[in-house]
Amino acid sequence: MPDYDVVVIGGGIGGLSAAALCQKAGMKTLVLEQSNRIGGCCSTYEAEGFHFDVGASVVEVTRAFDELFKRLEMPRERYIPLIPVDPIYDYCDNTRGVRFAYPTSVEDTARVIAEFSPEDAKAFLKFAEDYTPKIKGLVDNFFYAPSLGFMDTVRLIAKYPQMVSVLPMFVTTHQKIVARYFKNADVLASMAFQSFYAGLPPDMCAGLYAIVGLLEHEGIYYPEGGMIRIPAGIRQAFEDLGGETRFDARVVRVMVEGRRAVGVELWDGTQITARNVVGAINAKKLYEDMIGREHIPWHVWRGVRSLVLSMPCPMIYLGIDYEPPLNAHHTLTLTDPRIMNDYWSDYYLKGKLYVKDGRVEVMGLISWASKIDPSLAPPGKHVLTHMGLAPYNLAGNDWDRYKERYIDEAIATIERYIIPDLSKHVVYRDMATPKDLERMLLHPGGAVYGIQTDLSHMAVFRPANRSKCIKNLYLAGASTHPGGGVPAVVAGGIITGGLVVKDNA
Amino acid sequence: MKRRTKAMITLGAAGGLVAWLAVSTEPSDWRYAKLLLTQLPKMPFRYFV
Ligand SMILES: Cc1cc2nc3c(=O)[nH]c(=O)nc-3n(C[C@H](O)[C@H](O)[C@H](O)COP(=O)(O)OP(=O)(O)OC[C@H]3O[C@@H](n4cnc5c(N)ncnc54)[C@H](O)[C@@H]3O)c2cc1C
Repeated sequence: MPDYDVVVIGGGIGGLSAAALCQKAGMKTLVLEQSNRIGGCCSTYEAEGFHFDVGASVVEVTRAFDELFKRLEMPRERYIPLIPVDPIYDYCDNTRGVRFAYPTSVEDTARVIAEFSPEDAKAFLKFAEDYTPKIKGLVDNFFYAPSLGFMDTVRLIAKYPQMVSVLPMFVTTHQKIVARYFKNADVLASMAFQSFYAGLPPDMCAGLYAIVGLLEHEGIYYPEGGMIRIPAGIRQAFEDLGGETRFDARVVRVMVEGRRAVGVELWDGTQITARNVVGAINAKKLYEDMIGREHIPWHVWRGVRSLVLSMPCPMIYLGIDYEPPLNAHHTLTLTDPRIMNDYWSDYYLKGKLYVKDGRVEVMGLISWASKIDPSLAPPGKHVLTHMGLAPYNLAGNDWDRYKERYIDEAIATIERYIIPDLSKHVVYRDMATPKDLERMLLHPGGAVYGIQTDLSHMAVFRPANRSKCIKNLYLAGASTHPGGGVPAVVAGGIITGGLVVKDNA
Repeated sequence: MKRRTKAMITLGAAGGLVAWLAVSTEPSDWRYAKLLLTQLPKMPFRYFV
C-alpha cells in the first residue's frame, strides 16, 4: 500500500493550495520542501532584526484566497490577515520634478491624473468603464477553470459567453491597448510597465495584461508579518486538516512505472510511494530532470524542450536607519514604454544591464514593507526591497562577482530619482541575484514565473495541471495554468487540487 | 484557368497582403508578430505537455 495518497513536490503557494484541498477531501497528503522555509518566492527571511520579503511584495485579486478558504471551509481572515495598501503606487522622478500617486479608488486616480492631464483622466475613466466588467468575468471564470484541451476552452466560452469579447485581448499587445487610451507620456508609462508582471515588455506582452493596471484598483494588500504569512497561513490550514510538511526534503526523481507516477525519491535515497504526485515546481525541470526522456513520448518531449523560461528578477534587500522620504508601499520611476521595449531587445536579450549617460541604471520597483507593518524592522529602522530586471547570464561578467557593484549601482539610481542620500542610511544590504534565486529555490534560470507568459505559453499551451503523458501526475504552481503571480498560483492550486480529488473520487 | 495563372494570382494576393501589413503595421506589432511566428511551430507540441 502506498505511503501517501498524495505527495506534493514544493512548499510554495501552488503546492500548498493543492495539498490543502486534497487533505480536505480526506486524502493523506505530504508536502516536500527542499529548503528550510515555506513559501518559495512568496516568503520572508530575517537578518539582523530586519524582515525582508524574498520576492513577492504585495498581492491583488485576493478573491483567490477567499475562494481557497471557502473550499476549505475555514476563515481566510484568521489564517491570512491582510492589510489594505493605499495608494497603490507612488511615481517619482526627482530629475524632472515629477511625483504623483495612484490611490485605490478609480475616481480619485482620475482626479490625480486630471491635475496634469485632464484628457488622460477622462481616458482612464473610459478605460475603467470598458474593462472593469471584462475583468470580473475573466478572473471568476478563466482563473478557476482547467485548461487541459480545446474542449475546456469551448466549455469556458459556453459558461461565460462574454469570453468571446475578451479573446482579442490575447492577440493584441499590452502596449497597443493602453496606447489607445493614454497620450500623456507619464500616464502611458504608468499603465504600461505592468507587462513586466507577465515577464515581458509592453510591446511583446499579450494585451490581456493591460487589465493589471485596473485590477490593482480592486485593492492591493499586504499580509501582517510579511509575505510569508500567506504560505504560512495555507500551511497552517493544511496541517490543521491533518496534512504533513517536511523541510530539507529535496526530491530528485519522480518514480514512474509504466507511464504512471508511483512516488518520489529524495536526495538521500529515501523513496516515498504515493497514489498521486503533484509537481509544484518548474514544469520544465520536473519533466526534463525528474521524470526524464525515457518516460515521455517524443512529441511531448519536444513540447517540453520548447518551453521558454520566464525572465529572472534580481532582488536587493536594504535595512535603513531612518524613515525614508517615500509616500507609498510601492515607488517607482516612470520609464517611457519605448525604453522598456528597447531595453528588452538591446540589453536584456544580449545579457547587458541598461546604460544611460554612460552609467548603469538599475530601474525597478521599491517596496517599503515596514510602512505597512512596522514590526518588520527594529524600532526607528525600516526595510526596503528593490525588484529589478536583469538577465540571467551577464555578458562578460558573473553575478557572484558583480553582485556588490550591482547593489551600489541600484542605490545610486534610487538616489538620483527617488531617495537622495539613501546610501548614508543603509545599515544592512544584501541581494539575491538570478543565480542566487536559482540556488535557493531551484528555479532554473532564476525564472520568476516558471515559464514565459506569452500567448504561445498560455492556457492549453501551458503545461497542463493534469499531466497528459504520465498517469497520476499533476502539476501546480506558476508554470501551469493560469500562470504566475500569487493569486494566479493559488487559483492554479485550486484547479489542480480539484482534479486530484475528482480523479480519485 | 491554368494552374500557373492561379498560382500567380495567389502569390500576387499574398504579396499584396504582406505589403499592406508591412505598411499598416506599427513597428511594435512586428515584434509581437515575430515572437508569435517563431513560437507557432512549437505550439502543437506544447499542446501535449
Ligand atoms: C522576485 C519576485 C517578485 C515577485 N513579486 C510578486 C508580487 O509582488 N506579487 C505577486 O502576486 N507575485 C509576485 N511574484 C510571483 C509569485 O511570487 C510567484 O508566481 C509564486 O509565489 C510562485 O509560487 P509557486 O508555488 O509556483 O513556486 P515557488 O514559490 O517557486 O515555490 C516552489 C517551491 O518548491 C521548492 N522546490 C523546488 N525544487 C524542489 C525539489 N526538487 N524538491 C522539493 N522542493 C523543491 C522551492 O524551494 C520552493 O519553495 C514574484 C516572484 C519573484 C521571484
